[in-house]
Amino acid sequence: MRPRSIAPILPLAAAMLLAACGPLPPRESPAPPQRPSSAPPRPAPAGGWPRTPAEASGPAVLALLDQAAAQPAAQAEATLERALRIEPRNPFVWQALAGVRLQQGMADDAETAAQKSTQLAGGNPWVESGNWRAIAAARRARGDEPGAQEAEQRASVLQEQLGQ
Amino acid sequence: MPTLSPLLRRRLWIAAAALLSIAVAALSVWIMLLDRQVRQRFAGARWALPAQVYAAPLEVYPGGPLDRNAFRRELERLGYRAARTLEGPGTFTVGASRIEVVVRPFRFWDGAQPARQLDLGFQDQQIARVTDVAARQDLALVRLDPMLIGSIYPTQGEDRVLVKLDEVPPLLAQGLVLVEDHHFHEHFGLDPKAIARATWANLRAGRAVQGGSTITQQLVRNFFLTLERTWSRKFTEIFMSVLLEAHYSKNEILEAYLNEVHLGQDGGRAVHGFGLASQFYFNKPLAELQPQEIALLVALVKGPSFYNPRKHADRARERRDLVLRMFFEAHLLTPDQLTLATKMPLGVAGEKGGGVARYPAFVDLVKRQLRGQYPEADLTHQGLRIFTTLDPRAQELLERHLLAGLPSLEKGYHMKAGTLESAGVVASVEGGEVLALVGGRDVRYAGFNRALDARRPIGSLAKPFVFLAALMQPDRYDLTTPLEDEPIELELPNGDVWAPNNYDKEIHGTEPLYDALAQSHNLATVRLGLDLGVNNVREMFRAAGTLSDPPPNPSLFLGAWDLAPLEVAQLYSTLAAAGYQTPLLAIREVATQDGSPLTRYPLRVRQTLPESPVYLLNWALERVMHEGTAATAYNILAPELRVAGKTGTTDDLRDSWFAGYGQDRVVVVWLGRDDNQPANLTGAQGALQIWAPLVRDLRVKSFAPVQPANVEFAPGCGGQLAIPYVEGHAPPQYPECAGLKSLFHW
Repeated sequence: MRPRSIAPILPLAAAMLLAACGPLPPRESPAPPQRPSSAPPRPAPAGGWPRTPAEASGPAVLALLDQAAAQPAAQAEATLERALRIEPRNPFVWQALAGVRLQQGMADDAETAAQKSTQLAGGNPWVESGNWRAIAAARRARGDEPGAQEAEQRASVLQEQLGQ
Repeated sequence: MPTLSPLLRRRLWIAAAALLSIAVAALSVWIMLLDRQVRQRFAGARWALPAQVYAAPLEVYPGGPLDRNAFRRELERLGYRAARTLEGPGTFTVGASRIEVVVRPFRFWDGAQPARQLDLGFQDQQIARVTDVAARQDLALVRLDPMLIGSIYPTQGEDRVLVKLDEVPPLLAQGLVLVEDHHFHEHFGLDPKAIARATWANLRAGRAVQGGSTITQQLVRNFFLTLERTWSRKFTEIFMSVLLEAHYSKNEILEAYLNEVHLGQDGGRAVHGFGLASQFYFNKPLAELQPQEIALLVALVKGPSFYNPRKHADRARERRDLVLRMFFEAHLLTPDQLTLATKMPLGVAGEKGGGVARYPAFVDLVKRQLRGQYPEADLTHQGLRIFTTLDPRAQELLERHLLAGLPSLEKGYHMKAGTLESAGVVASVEGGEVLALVGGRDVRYAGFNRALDARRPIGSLAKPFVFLAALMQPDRYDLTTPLEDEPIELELPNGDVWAPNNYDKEIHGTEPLYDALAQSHNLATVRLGLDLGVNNVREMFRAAGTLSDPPPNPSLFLGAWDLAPLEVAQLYSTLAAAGYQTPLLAIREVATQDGSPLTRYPLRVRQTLPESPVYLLNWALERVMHEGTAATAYNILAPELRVAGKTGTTDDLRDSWFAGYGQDRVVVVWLGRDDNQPANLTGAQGALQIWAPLVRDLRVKSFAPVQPANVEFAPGCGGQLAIPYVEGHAPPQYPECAGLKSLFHW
């Protein structure tokens, strides 16, 4: 029998080789989006990325963040929501809220708050790495161990980039 | 005369004794029943407390977006009084760019804030500095006491702001006794001398000019309101007064009286008690009243309608000054105080219903959101304190623009005055809070709440969700995918043929996807929707947070679906928040009467839509404002203010909608007619003309969506208008500019 031509499988082989070289861009899906790890980090703004709340928040919100850090979860939640009314797009406040939700055992809400913080952070790796750690904790609390590890990996990649 | 035999006489005595015993027994039973009634009513009065509903407190902090005049208006709205020097809580002084104020104490849900003296500095249209004068410390943040916006009271229509006797200004307690019942502290429920004096005066005048009733008697009358002034009622009243005095101390009776006496009428609602009257007439708490204001309230006891200061100012003033003189003669006022007080105007706040139950549509929403969770009796009797999301500034702006906009439109379009009705909602983008709500053009009237209950077809407001469903499939659609705006006919299940038309009755041929949305072309939208399938579109509405069920028909693409304005606000707030859906709430917290926290309504956010399709859709919705059907908005808005939105026009121009947002506020306006006849206004002609100046005056922040990591911009046609697309998919295709309908509609 004549050997079957390998020509048809060449494109497939090429595709597999390419796949091995680098990840394919992700497909859109309704699940919470994940920044493709192949995407280049977004450029920092002129003054550099704010690393701490103090660099990105007004004094009123800072005072509330301090207050919340010293309060039990039920009250901290109210304090952080008060901060969100003053600065609704402050990613540090959303991150702090994620932390409080973890304390309250509300894993889904914690993950969403961390996700929201990332969305508002506009690429700030200092904020994002903290958010991935929070997401990892939330997934672990939900019993999603593989998801938690993936999130932890994202956090480590960012931390490496930041030289932490 | 025949004498009675001894036997007969004895029998007569026995009969008389028996009758007397029965009479006494009957009287005793009657007195016991009366006694029980009195005690029940007295106890009931002390314990039935309506829930108090508060607006959101104003947060005061350096950087706060209020200039000195705006801050002053906030203080005045809360009933604070400008004075030359500070005189305790509720007063403030004004300097060149400075205000000093003594903030009232208040028990917030999360703790009590004591009264404090604050010194505020203003610069560049903002609060620059907040200093606590006593502590000599600059503050990062402090709250003003929130505005009381209403109560939830039983349907009999009674309302209370309860006061304790020791909280009442001494001038009021003493002055009231002086004027109404001089010997209150000495008598036993009745004052025979006063009755005698009154009877004499009435006889001399030939009619009733004086009453001899004690405070106790008046209290009984207030408890058991009856319109008959018959002798039997009088008799009962006398007995009840004596019984009341037997059971309760003078102080308890006086306190109950202070909380029960009828002092005015607010539409269908009676104003009872000095606490409520103080809010109703002067928009401030009882403790802050000045002598002439106290005198006016005391003057009203004699006849709140007859001496209504809003309707009969002269009479009210005359009686008030009489009362002031009585105060002075009894040494309750010094000569200087008398002179000063008599010179002061009546000082009554506002037209009608000042201070309490001002925002019936919003309070209606609050009641509905509570109703599932608290039994009616708890809501109306336990004195709950309800802290809401209402922003009084936003509410007043919404009201003002609706009230000004409707007559202006009616005139401009030659409609009879009063033809149009309206509803509006202002909500926060990220926080899920309803900040302002109006249910109809008669904003003070608690009637049909159109913001919650007027379900009208949303028309073109549905289109963004069709386009969103397309953008969810970036491998098939991007913002410049060519769509065909060509006639289409659909056979419906019942055999009818549906052949929609564009509003301008024209056919526009091939056009880029975003332009079909910006120009709100029906034909292109329906074709797109059919390609996607109606279920994909329904899924978009669900993700945006609708609690209703979108109909599974292609007519959904053109908005043949009835929704109330608040529901529309819910849908559009998810788009404004980059796909993060938060249920819109009107309540933040509920506390008990003494301030213990009871329930919180925490912020619940869910990401229901991915960021990049929403980002692309929002870009198209900005095109609506600049080049599309809402371009007239920029006749009113500053050109650099970025907003996104959609006009909503329905079949036969029955409804006129606009839904849109900036960075921090979502605003929805509906106009139409209650009789469902065509309003003859498109979304742009009607609702947009109210929406735009409202958004300008609310100082909504410029829409500034955060570009997701996987979205890039491709340079536009001829180097202009860069268009966003999802990375990893083909960038937007630009046929030759000449070959495509112009992207800029000159």
